[in-house]
Amino acid sequence: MIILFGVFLLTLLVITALAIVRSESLFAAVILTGIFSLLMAANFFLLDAADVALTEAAIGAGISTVLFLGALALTGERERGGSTNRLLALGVVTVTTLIVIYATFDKPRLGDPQAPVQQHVAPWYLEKTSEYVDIPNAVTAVLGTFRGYDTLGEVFVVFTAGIGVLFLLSAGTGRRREEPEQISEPNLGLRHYLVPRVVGRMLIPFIFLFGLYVQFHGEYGPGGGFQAGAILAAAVILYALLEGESQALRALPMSVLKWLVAGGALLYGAVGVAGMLLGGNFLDYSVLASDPVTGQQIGIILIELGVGITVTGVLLCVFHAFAARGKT
Amino acid sequence: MLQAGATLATIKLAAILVFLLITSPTASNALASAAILSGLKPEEGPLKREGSPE
Repeated sequence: MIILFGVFLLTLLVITALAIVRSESLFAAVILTGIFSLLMAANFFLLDAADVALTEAAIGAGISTVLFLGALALTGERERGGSTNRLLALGVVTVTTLIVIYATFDKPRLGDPQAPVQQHVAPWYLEKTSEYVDIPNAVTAVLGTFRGYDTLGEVFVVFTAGIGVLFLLSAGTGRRREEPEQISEPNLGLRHYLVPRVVGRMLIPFIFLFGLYVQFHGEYGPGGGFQAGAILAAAVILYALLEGESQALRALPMSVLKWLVAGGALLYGAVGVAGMLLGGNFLDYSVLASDPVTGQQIGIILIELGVGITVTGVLLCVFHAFAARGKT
Repeated sequence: MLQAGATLATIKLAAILVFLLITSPTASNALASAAILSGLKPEEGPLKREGSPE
């Protein structure tokens, strides 16, 4: 049954991918990308990767679509006719496909217990999570503790991406944005649309609540900083769509967002440095409390908070950068 | 859902149902409004006046 469902989802994925390639309208392509992400999330869930599924659904299907639409608002809606060599492209794609298919012959079967990925560190992580960290969700333990350096790197990648987008998109518009250009403000947003506005306003507190739940429930179920950051950012973006971007900026000004972007990454780094100051290694949370297990749990909560703060800040900064660019 | 007894999963499922009950008509409404705004008009039916979003 699961195999049938998997084949069904993968077929839908291929159809969606073909539709994305064939689609002339970039708008339709963006929406199809969102559908693709949602199908991918269902696929991940079928493979028992609930954390990844949540991330894919929140970031891939949710925020990316909004950011793509923001980018589309700055460019055109139609694809420009390609004058490139089609035969060359076809050849490259064919060769790559054949190489990838050939590479799958070496791949172990899905879920094979003898596969290399199940042999090395994974059993150790699964065995030792209850002893060292004592939280039910092994994914969070691996992400936060055993692989803390990797996650720190990911947070800095997100941080760098946010800074890069801010540099690129606010170049030359920084001064103009300060001027009071409030003339057309009342027309922004979905103010004239009663139903979306009422329902949206009703939902925003619950989305925030769900975001916080995902943030702080990450030790016990699927979730964590990345997913929570995306959900919280989605709530604020929904507010911006409903009430106009200036209202959202009034609630969460750009200066606060910049502090969030830097503060989350700083909090993560500071937890690591605090471990060093207390006599342990960098990102070793065992020394944060008298009991090593409690220390690990405190450390994971703190770094997940850092991740969530940075992701929220970066996504909102990118969104506002796109929106501000479109205004001028 | 109801046959399995009241567990935490039941409450979550009920919350999801309520969420879908509220959001999908809203999405349809927004979609229809956007279609009308962009020039698509429903062709059948007695309603012949210029479409307004509501």
